Amino acid sequence: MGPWWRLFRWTVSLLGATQGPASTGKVARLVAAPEAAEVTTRGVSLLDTRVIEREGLVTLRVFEGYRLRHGPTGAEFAAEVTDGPVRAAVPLDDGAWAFVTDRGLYRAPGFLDALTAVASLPRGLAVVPGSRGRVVLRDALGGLWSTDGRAAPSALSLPGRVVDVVFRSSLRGVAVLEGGAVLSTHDAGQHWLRLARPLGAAWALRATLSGVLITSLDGVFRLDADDKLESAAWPPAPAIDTRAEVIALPLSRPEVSARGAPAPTAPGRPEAPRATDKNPRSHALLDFGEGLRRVFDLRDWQGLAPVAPVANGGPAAAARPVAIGHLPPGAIMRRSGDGYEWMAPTEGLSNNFGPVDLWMGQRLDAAGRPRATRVWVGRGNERHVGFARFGGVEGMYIVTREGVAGAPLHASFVPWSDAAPGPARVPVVDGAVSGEGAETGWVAHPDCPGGSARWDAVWLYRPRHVGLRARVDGVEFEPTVTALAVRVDPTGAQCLEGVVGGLTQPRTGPHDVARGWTEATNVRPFVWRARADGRRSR
Amino acid sequence: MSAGVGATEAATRVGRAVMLARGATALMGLVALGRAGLLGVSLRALRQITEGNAVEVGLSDLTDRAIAAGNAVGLGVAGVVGLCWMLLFVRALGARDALAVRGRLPSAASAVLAWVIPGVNLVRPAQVMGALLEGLRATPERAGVAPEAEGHYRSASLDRGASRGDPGAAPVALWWSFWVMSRLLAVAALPFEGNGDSASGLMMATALTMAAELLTAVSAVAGWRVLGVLGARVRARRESLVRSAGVC
Repeated sequence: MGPWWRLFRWTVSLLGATQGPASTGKVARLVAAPEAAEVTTRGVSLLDTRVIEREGLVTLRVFEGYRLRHGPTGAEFAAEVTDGPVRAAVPLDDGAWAFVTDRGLYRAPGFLDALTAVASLPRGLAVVPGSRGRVVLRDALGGLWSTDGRAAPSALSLPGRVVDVVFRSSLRGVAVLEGGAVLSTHDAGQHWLRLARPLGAAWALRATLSGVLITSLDGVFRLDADDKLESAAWPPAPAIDTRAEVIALPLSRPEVSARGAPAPTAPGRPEAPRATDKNPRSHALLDFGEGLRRVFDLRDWQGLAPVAPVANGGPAAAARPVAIGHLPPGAIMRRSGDGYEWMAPTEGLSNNFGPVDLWMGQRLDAAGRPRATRVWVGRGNERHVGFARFGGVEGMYIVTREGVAGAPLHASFVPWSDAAPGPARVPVVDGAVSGEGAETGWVAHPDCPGGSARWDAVWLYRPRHVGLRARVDGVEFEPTVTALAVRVDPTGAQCLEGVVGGLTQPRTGPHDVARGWTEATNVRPFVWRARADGRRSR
Repeated sequence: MSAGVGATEAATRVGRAVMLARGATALMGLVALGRAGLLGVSLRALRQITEGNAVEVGLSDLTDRAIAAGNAVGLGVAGVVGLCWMLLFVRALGARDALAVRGRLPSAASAVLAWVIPGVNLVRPAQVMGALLEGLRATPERAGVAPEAEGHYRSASLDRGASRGDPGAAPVALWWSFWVMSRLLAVAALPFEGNGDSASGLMMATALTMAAELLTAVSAVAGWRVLGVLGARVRARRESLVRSAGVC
């Protein structure tokens, strides 16, 4: 405010025209980090932050342009804020961190340390998640760019269209190409080598501290530091029969018929399924052959795109994924017993742990009638929560054990009733699933007796699939986000108690405060406990 | 007869100016109330921000823009109100002879200047208004003054004599004291804004400005009442003069 402007305001105020301060913006800027950070821990739910990394009970998180380290003793914020929301934070080889925003690439010696601007980025670049040591970006045309965080990104060339790529260090990386081939590099992408041992078609990668997890039709494999695949595979999804014969889907191009349905197939002819694009903007018809047809609503499912990753158990590269309509992810169809099974990943969702895939699948009998439907959320072998339908009962499962290196994970299928939304009065089914498990130890619940117990917390989106209705202060609503927490004993083998909470999460603005986990745990429309006979009751 | 005609014309001109000033004053009061509400919203948002509860950016921006727009509107309305009051003073003081206004009254030019000189404008306009009301009071020699011209103050004021106890002084004092307080608060708020480097300072500035706007609204109500008294006295004086001149 210049002296003349100040004099003007004084004068006009004295003469009768009050000049009020438009100051909320000023104050909002004033409470930027670090002052804002301290108050933000009370005002902004941790749900609005994104977990970048965990170090025991301490999590590294980002919120907008803030960086924070959150642990049992509270939160510590970085003093500097990036020019926009942090889209990705990648740990680099030397312990430094790279931070990517919509407009630039930053580097910091430590997660909360001072930022150094490395390069400005053009708009339209998306970060390929999951890498360590190297930032990988994808442009609008599908081209890949990468940097070790010290210079501007340079083009990353691979021999084919890339489905997924992760780096576990600045030099070593793994990529999956269309068709499921897995390649690795030891020189930051200058040269790529095909894995010596062929896998069933792979479609997802995940870099971890112990190696790269490759999710394929043969299961989930870990590629160790020497590029050796572990012999044992983890099943890619609950109850997937990995011995089922894979049916090729020669979907060269979607066929559009005048009536929106494919031509009938000859009786008895083992014709492969094919897809017909009935209405590329709303519906897709997938013809499984042998008289099995299914019409999928793309609007509800956020896109279903059948692909043909493999051909009749042959090499993975034998078929190419082909999308129906304009939607990229693929559905995988295969024979399962005397029926069929398909699954379709849908990307673009995120939960409290970062980007996830929403997987949907159905098991059909020989007549094409659905016998089981599954939805599960996670990425690769991380399966936190899902539900299944068996007959008239839907089941929700919660992962209660974690650890890729340990025993197969356990899931508790909590029977779920459609007629009276909520847990059904039938025994809970425990089953083995793959996954790294849920979050542990980061939330405590006042109703949890005993000091040895721990809480796992998982999040489920799209609750309409579950039919959950919550009640808060006497008001019933259908939550947009559902919180699930399970208490497990110290061995992690048995789920003793579960809590389901729902909360609405309006998002009208970037600073909108969502109702946080604490409130969610206080919302307990359904509580069921372990009984002496092992069954659970509401 | 000519005196009566002159009084009628002058009273009509002054009456129109009074109506104009009343309308402008009412507008000022409404605008001040609206701005006080906006500042209240802003104050609430500021409190939320400083307490760590993030606010919706869209609402915050909207509030800031509304306040900035309110500043411009307030400036315009204040200008209009000032012009109306100046016009009223010019017409009322210019009609002092036609309406037989008694007492020592300033010139129209000095009364207008009193509105626009900072500092002087905190004192002089109320004095001019008080002198006008005093000069338009009914007098014993003006028999037949309409009772409503004196309102319910008439008997007491007439009994005490013309030189003291003007019943019109109370509304003027009320009007002007609130107005002066509002101006002082508005000016007092400005240093707290500073260069926008203190959240508490900005909150204090917002709170003081909101209080100033509320006082302005109260002052506008009192000013409306003052103008009502003035209009009534002008009408009564006209009737008195017309009646004494024998002209309808």
